[in-house]
Amino acid sequence: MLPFCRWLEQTSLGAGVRESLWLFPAIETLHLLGMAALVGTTAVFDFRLLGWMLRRERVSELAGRLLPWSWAGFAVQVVTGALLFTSEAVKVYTNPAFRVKMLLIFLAGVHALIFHSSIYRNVASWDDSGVLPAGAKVAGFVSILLWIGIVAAGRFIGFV
Amino acid sequence: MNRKARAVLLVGLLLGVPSLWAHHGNAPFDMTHTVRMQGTVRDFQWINPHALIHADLKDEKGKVANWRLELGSLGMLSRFGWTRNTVKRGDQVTAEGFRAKDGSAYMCLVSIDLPNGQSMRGSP
Repeated sequence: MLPFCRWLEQTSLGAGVRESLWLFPAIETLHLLGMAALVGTTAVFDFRLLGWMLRRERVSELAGRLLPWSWAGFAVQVVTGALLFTSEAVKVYTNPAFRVKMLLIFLAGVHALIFHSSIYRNVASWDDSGVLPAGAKVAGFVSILLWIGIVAAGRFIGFV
Repeated sequence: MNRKARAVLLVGLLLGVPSLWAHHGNAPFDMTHTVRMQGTVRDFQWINPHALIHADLKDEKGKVANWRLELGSLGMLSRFGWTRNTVKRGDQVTAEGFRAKDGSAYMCLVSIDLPNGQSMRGSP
């Protein structure tokens, strides 16, 4: 992986982002906006699962309205994150906070998969209720913790 | 859960996020005073998010070490009049900055005196 990182940051794309006056902060800006869309919509859904918010909204309807924004945000994060990575690939690849962040993103993905293939399959039976089954609440709580961890680990890349 | 308990839990969650506590930009550096050292530039990296100079500098005890001098962002440096060629390998310079608190050969560069006599600002 390190030889690949070394090659990546030598490409004209990597050097361009690394040595640009305004492109780097512009990409960071987009990365923040993508985070707002992704983490914001994810948190709203998690808060609904916990019964902290929008209790009169059907869970399935809320999922249908929020999830496209979560995915759009995720797509922005992958593209802008890859560009930022390219500019300092070796440094970031060996950074412990970056590794924690990637691990937590992986876990958040696994968590979402498990949620959708288990608890969420019975959504019809609790779609309307304000107080949801314990499994749904736990899923919402775990998701919030994971996303707080991802944001914190991302911020810490520059400081460890 | 009532409204108050929820608010307490939410504040507790946010307080648990270390990034809200731990850092502001200059925390690794001892900002109470600057140090001034002379030496030779080994490398100048014009890179985001902070430009870097590596230089062999002699401290007040006469010990020479390879120092890492951290500068501001490229946009700020441009406004101060820097380009990627302002500092070159082999340049004899005098660096003034805030030392790292951990005692390593690392400083936040405040200003640098160049061989042509010009003094350049290194960070905001």
